[in-house]
Amino acid sequence: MLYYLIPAKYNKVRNLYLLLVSYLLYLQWKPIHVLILLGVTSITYFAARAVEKSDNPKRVLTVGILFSLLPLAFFKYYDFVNESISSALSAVGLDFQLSGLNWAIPIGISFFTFQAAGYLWDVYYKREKAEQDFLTYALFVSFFPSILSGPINKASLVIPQLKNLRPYFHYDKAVKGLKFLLWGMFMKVVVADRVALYVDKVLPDYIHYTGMSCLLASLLYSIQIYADFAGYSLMAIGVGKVLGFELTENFRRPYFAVSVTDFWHRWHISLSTWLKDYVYIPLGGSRCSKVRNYWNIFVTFLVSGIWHGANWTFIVWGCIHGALQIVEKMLGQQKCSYGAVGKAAKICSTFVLVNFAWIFFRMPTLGEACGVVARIFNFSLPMSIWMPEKTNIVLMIMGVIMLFVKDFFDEYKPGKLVIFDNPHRIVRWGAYVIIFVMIMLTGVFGADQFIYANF
Amino acid sequence: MKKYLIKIVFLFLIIIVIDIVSGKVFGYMLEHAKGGDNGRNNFIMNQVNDEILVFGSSRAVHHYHPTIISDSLGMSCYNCGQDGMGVIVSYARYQTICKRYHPKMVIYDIMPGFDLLKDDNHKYLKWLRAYYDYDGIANVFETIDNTEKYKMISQMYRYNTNFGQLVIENIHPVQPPNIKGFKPKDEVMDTMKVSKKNIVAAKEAPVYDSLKISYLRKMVEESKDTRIIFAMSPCWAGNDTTVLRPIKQICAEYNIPFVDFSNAPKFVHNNDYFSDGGHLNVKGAEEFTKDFMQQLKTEGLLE
Repeated sequence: MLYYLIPAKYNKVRNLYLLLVSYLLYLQWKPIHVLILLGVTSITYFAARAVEKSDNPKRVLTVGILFSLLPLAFFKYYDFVNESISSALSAVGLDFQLSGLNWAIPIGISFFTFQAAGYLWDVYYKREKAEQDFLTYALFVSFFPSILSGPINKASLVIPQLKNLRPYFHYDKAVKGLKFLLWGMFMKVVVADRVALYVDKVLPDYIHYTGMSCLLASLLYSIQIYADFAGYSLMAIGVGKVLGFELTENFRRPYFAVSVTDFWHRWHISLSTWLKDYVYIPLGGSRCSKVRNYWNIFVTFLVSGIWHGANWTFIVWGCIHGALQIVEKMLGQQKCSYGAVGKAAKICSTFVLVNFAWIFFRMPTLGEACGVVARIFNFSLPMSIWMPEKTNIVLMIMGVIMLFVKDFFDEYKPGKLVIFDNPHRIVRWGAYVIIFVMIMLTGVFGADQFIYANF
Repeated sequence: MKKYLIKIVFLFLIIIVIDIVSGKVFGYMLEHAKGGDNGRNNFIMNQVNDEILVFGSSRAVHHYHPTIISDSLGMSCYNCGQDGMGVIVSYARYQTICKRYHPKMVIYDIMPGFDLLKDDNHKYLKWLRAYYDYDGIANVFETIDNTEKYKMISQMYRYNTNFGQLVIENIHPVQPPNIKGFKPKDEVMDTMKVSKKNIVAAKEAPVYDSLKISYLRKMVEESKDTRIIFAMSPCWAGNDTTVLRPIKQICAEYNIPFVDFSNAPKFVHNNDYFSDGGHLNVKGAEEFTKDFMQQLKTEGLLE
C-alpha cells in the first residue's frame, strides 16, 4: 500500500522504495548474506559498464563472470568438491582433506547470481545496453518477489519496466495478480504440502515400505515439486503484477509434455531459457555436427544438474535429462505426430521418465535413490500400499484432481472452463471465496519451505 | 484504485462472515460429535474424571487396556492417547484436565519419534486448534510457532483438515466405539509386510527436540499429587534403547519409574501379538497390559 502512496511521477522514489523493501526482506534471512547480494550486484554492474568501454570485452566478461560466480561456487560447491576430492584420494590410499565450511548458503544465491550473470552476457553480446543507474540495476537483481526462487528474469524484460514511467495503478493487471496469488497459494498449501505428508513419510524411510508405496510416493513427489515450484512462481508473478510489473512465465503445464525436450519448454522456463542462451547456444547449439549437438545438450543439462545442488544426485538427474533428450533427438521423437492415442501414450511415457529422474532429485544420496528404484522393481515384495489416514487421502485426491482438471482445460480446452475470469460475477466471486475457504480448511500450514528455496 | 480496494474489502467481508458462521457451526458440531476422534477428544478435554489416565501416541491408544488396569488396581482408568501425536498434545490435554481435577496416576507411553526427536511440531497442533481459547492452550501454540496466533484469528482454520471427519462424526461415526479410550486392533500381523530383521543401532546420533523434552519435564513437575510412570510398550522388531536417554535421565532426576517392554522377548517378533510392525493387536494388548500391571506390582512401583 505504501508503494501506491508514492505518486507515479516519482518513479525513482518508487523504485528506491521497492529496493529498500527487497533488501529489508533479504536481511530477514541472514543479514550478513546481504553483502553477497550487494557484491554480486556491484561486480556485474561495473563489469557490464567496463565491457561496453573495453577494447577487450571478452577478458572483462570472463573476469566479471568468474567473480560473480565466486560466491555461488564457494558457498554452494566448496564442501561438495572438497569431499569428492578427499573421497577420490582416499580410494587410492591418500589421506587429504581440507576442513569443511558448514556455512548456511545465502538464500536465492543461484537465482540472483544467474540473473546478474545473464545480464552481463547480454551486455557482452550487445543484446542489452549497460545500465547506468546503479539503483535500477540493484532493484533488477534483488526484486523481492523473484529473489527467493525466481523466475530468473531477463534484463530486457525487467529493466525497461523499472526505468519507464509506470502507470500509477493498472487495475486489470492488479486483479490478475491477485488471482495468480490465490491459485499459487492453493497449489502450494492445498496440493504440494498435502502430498508432501505422504512423500516425506515414505521416501526418507523407504526401506520400511513396499515397492508400491515407494512408487506412489515417487509419483506424488512429481506432483509435489510441480505444485510447490509452479505455485511459488505464480505467487511471485502475481505480486509483480499487483505492483504493475510483468515477470517471466515459468511453467506451462509441464506434465502434458509429449517428450522430455518438450518438458523443458514447459518446466522452469526461465532457467531453461537461461541455459539455452548462455550455455547451449555459446557451445554451438544445433548449428554444428550431430555429435557436437548431442554433446552440447548433454553439457547444458549437466550444468542444469550442477546448478540445482552440490550433490551427485543432482548431477545424475541432469545427466538423465540430457541423455533422454539426446535419445529423443536421435529417434526424432521430440514432437508428436501420432494422433490422440499416440499423444496420450507419449505424455504418459514422458511423465514416467521424468518421474524416474525425480527420484534422483529427491533422495539425499545416490545409494538411497538406487535403493528406492530397486525397491520399486522388487516384485517379490507385497503389492500393498501404505495408506495414511482417510482424511489425508481424500484431501490429497481432491487437490490433485482440481489441479489436473484446471491444467487439462488450460492445455486442451482454453476458454471452456473459465472460472476466475468468468463473465458472470457470481461464478467469479464464488470461485474466489471457495478457493480461499479451501485454503483455510484444507491447506497444510506447517514449517515447510518452498523446495526451490533450497537452491 | 478505489474500485480495487472496495472490491478487496468486500471480498474479505464475505470471507469474514463465512469464517465466523462456519466457526460457530463447527464448534456446535464438535460439542455434539456422536463418537470418533472428535467425540473422544471432546470428552478428554471436558469430561474425563478417571483416577488413572494413559497418555501417548497410537501405541498408547492400542496397547493399554483400561478395563484390565481398572480391574488390577481397583481404580477407574481412561486411555487419553492419540494416533500420531506425542507429548505436545498429551501435555496440553493433561494441563487442561488438571484444571478440573488431579488424577491419581498417569501412565505415559513413550514413542521416541513423537516424544523425544526433532520434527515439524506443527502437526501436533491438529487436535488442539479447536480448543485454542481454553486456558493454557495458546501458550503451547506460542512455543511451537509464534505466527500461529495470527492463523488462529480464523475460526475456520481451527477446524483445518478436521472438518470432514467432524461432519461424519455428527451423522454416523465410522470408527467403532472405543473402550474407555482404548481402541483394540483386531488385525493379525501380515508377515509379508515386514522383513524379520533385528533392530540395529542408528547410524547417526539422534537429534533431540528440546521443546518436547521440556514438555515431558513440565508434565512431571506439574504432577505433584499424581503418580507418573513412563513406559515403552513392546515393539515387534525391538528397539534401540539408546534413543531413550533423555527420558531415562528425567526419570532418574525425579525418581520416576521407567518400565521398558520394548525389547521384551515374549513380544519381539511374535506375530500373534501384533497387527503391524508398530502396534499390538487386541490379544497382544491384553497380554501386555496384564504383564505391565504385574511388573508394576512386582517391582513395587505402585507404592
